[in-house]
Amino acid sequence: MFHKIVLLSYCFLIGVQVFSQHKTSQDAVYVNEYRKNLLKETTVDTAKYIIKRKLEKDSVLNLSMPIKFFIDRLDEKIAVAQQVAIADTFFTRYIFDKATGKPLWNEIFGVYPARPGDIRKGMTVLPGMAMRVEMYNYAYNLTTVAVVDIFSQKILSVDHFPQTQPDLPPSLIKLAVQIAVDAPEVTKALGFKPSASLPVMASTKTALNRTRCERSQHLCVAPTFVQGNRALWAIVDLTDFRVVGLRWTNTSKELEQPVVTERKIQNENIADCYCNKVNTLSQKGWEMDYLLTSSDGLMISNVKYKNQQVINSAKLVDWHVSYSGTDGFGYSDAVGCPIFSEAAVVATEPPQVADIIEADTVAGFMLEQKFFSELWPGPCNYSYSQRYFFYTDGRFRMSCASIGRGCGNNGTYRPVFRIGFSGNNQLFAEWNKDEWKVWDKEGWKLQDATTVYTKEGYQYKLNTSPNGGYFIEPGRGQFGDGGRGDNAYVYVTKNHLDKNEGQNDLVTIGPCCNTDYQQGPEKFMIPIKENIRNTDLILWYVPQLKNDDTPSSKYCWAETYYENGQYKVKTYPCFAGPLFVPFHK
Amino acid sequence: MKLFFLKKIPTFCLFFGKTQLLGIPIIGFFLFLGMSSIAQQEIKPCNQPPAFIQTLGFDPLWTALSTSEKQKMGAVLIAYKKVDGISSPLPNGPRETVYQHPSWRSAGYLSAICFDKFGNAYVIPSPFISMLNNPIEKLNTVYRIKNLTGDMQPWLAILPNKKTSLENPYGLLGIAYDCIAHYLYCATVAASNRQKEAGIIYIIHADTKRKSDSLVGIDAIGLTLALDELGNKRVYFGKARTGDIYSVAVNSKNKFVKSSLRKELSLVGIGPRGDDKARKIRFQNNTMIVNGIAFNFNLQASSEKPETQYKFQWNYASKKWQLIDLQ
Repeated sequence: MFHKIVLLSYCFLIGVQVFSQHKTSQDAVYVNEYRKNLLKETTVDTAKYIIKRKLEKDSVLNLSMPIKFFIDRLDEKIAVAQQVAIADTFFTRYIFDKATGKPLWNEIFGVYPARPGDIRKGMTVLPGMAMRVEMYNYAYNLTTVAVVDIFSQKILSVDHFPQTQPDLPPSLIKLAVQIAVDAPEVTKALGFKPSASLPVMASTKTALNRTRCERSQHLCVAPTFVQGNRALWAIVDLTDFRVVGLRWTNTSKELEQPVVTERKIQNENIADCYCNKVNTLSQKGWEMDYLLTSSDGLMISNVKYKNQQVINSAKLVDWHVSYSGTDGFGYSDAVGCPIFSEAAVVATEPPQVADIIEADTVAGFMLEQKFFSELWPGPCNYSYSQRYFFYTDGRFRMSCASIGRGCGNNGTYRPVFRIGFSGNNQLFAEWNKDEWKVWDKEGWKLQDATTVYTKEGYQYKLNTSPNGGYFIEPGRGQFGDGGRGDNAYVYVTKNHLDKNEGQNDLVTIGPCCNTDYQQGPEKFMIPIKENIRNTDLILWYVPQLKNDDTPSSKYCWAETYYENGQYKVKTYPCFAGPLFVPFHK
Repeated sequence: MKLFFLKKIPTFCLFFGKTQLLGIPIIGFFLFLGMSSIAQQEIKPCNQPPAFIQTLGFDPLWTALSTSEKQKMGAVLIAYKKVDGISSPLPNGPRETVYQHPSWRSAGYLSAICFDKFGNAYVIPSPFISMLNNPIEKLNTVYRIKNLTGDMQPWLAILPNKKTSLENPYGLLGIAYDCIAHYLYCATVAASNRQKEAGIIYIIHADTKRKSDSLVGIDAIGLTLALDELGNKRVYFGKARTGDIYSVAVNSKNKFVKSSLRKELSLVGIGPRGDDKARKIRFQNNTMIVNGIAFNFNLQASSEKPETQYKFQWNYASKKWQLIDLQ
């Protein structure tokens, strides 16, 4: 590695993000309002310069040509060049949404004398009369460059460059620096609040480095604060007006300087803070360790409730996605760490902790991890959510959701949960209309239309000791999270303490496209189904979730929509997972 | 995947496409055109079309060997429909049929392909989205599709006793054939993890399978051989971690001249993503063409993995590569 990474400061930053979530009820996640909070937007801005910038954007979107011009009152050529450029329909090809005709947010970042390379073969233009006009489209992350002959007032060439950003105008440089210097994270990292004037101290100067927000596809730059032989990069998103992340680098002249980008910061810090390090969480009577695994999602372990260990570990082993239109077409997605992992859909943001509110009361807390494909929500790309709920009364739930979009509207998602409860004297039973029928041997069962439940909605009972255990309530659409029922396979296998029964990180446990019970856990029942009375057990839970893109009932789905000159993402997650309700004899 | 189109008068090869090297769709395209377009730094190709193609009744000029068919694991032979007025097929041209030998699925998903002067094809396995069909212990095995029969069998286990790091789902990441000396160059990252770059590039005789030399401590992808500005044979490769492109000279005894290891250029900070790694490198008309993708030692695979082609030209005055185009 040629650049130095200061890990602690960033882990600390993530910690602030995580733990501030549960400090105020304002940030709490209401159980029945998941969708609203799932992809939370920037909080309300109070900084004057951001409010001004948003008003400016609104006014641009009300123009017949939704383009902010580059202003330079001293140079008439610049104004002429822009007028010639916007009169060309190819130059303005992408300034409106194609489907609706609604305006997109565009801005001319700069107008310069044309470069030698801009004048192509066959172009004739008087010296000094060729100007280059660079326009940025925030919705498409697209740069359009026109070369204009201002003498004849004609367009010489127009090119569109997707995922490309032109040099910033002075006004945006100033805005980026303002956002950076006002960010509390920057103040914390530097140890003082820097000034927006440059340089701020004799020993500290700022520079604006180029960077990229590969995942959000937003306009990003990195005001960089140099301190001695170190530089603090603050990646600023100028589409959403916020600091995306921070990173210290070494500025030694002998070493090549790295380019710090959104993806790099996200990947390395998730790996440093959550993949290579076991974190602990202690709240509302619960204590646990949690770790982001290579391919089994966010794993919790050593879970205690009121100082008594209740769960050895729980994790999300696989997502099996099959499409009914084509035999055998689908994927087995592992979720996990973003780098050096076997994950196909990766964590890009830290886990979040939030209060669970029931009847205006804090009833517990939720630990959530989200996973994304790079081009989500584009077709054939995926996003998943994994959640653990811990209630103050000892109830516990694990759930997960597909957040679309997948390769078609005929997909079925089958996530594979693995849960190991504490206790080596366990009994597993299912409700049989009138009584609890204990399972003698390893086995599986499908929850379907004929399934019978207790009046409380329980299908199974797990005695973790002779003194008590948990009732198991599968999802039937009752949890208020948009879930429509789990249709789940439940498997119970014996946990041999001297063998790997899946407690280590599991590589893909099963194929994408089996539509029956063969989702992977059955492998732990061969060659013979063992006796599971009064022993250590593993519970596997595999819900089956069919996606839907019907306008009024979208499920396991995501799509982009137009809003105020940009494209945003609307999600329709399909949550599934059982609730465990404690009982005592 | 790679698609290889073969003509009988091999003078020039062009390669583009869609495969699942690194879990990423890529296509390879192998064309042999006229003598006049030999690139200054390119080694004259010697690759021959496998004889089994004709035995199966296909025209070698209108077929391609592919490892990245979305719904076909392993290798397939694509036979294209002949179109009037077109002398050779395009990767997305109309297809007549897709053939798969029963043995071509046996190694799971595959990535890079190279041909030797006899028409044997060498392929390496690479997991695609999941590890289900690519067991860890097979990730360092080179497979060979025999010229005459089309049968695919394990050819050589590069690191038979070394277990792939559990953090890293990859083994072999690159393979190239040296037409001058009849050696294969194979790059594995099996022993690497996040903290340690422990990849190895091997030089292996294509007949005896004897390892001639190795370069240790480099995670390499996109291997290729070419002649440098002084006419010396070098192996060029992308660094899987940084986006840099390095090269190292190979002497007449087919050993690395380790002191000659040098950085050629870097993809860092250029292109739409800025952190691309070199999936493929080739030389054409004094130009180094690099196909760059995002790669982070995971199994992440987007539907359309964004790929950028970078073209660099050698500046004799500054002795540096200059970016001349990217698309």
